Amino acid sequence: MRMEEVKIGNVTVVKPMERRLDAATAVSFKSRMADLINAGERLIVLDLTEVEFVDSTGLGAIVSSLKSLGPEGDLVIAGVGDMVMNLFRLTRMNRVFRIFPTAREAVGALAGGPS
Amino acid sequence: MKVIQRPGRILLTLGTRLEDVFLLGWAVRGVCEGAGFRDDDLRSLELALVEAVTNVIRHAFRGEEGYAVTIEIVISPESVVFRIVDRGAAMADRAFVRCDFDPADVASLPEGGMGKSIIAAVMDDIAYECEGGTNTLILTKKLPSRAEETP
Repeated sequence: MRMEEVKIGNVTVVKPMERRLDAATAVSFKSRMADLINAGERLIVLDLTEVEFVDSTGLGAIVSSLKSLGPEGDLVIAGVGDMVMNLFRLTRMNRVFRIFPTAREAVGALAGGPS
Repeated sequence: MKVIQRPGRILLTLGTRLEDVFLLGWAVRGVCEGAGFRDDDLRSLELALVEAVTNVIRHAFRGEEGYAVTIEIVISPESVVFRIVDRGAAMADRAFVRCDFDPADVASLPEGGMGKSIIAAVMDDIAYECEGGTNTLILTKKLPSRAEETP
C-alpha cells in the first residue's frame, strides 16, 4: 500500500494513498506501520482523507498498530468520511480512537504528547 | 399511502479473490439503494456483505483463489435477504455476536473477529446452514419502511 509520511515536530502523519484499507491491503499497511513504530515513532496521526472504505481487517490492522505503540505512544485518526465513520460506530471503536476532522487538528492535539 | 417494493431476485458469482470483493460491495449498494435504503443503512449493508464474503474466502477457502462464492439477493415487500453459498470448509464458530470491550484497556482490544460483530450489528436476522458440503449464510434486513413499523 502506498502511503505518504510526514514528520511534524514529534508527530508522524501517515496518509494511505489508496481508496480501500481492507482484507486485500491490510497486510502491507500493518507491515509499514510496524516499520515506523519499530523505528521509534510514537505519536502517529493516521490521515484517512483518501480512504473511502475500511473493513474489519483494516480496522484490526489499525488496532494492532495502536497496541504496538505501547502506553507511551498514541495513534489518532483524521479525515474520516461517512463510510469509515460508520465502521467505527458499528464496531464501537469510536470510543477507543480520538477522531479529528483534519490532520492539522490531530497534529495539534498530539503535539503535547499522549492523552 | 405506503409504496410497495417490487419483488426481485439477482444471483451473483464471485471468485475467491480478496482483491475483487469490493465489486460485490458496489453491487450490494446499488441493489439496496434501489430497494429504498439510504445513508448509514446503505454503508452498513455494503460493509456487512464485504465482511461475510471475506470471511468465506479467508476461512472456508483458506484465502485460496480459484473457487466461487454465490450471493443471491432477494427483495420482497418486507425485506432484503442475502444468501451466501459456498462449498468450502464449514464455519467452525457460528456465533454472530457484537464485540464488547473496555475502550480504556488498549491491550485487550480485539484485532480480529470484528467481521461477525459488524454483521450482527447490521442484520435483523442471521441463519447458517450446512448440508451436503454446501454452506449457506442467510442474512435478512428489513426494508426501511418495515423497520420503522417495528416498535
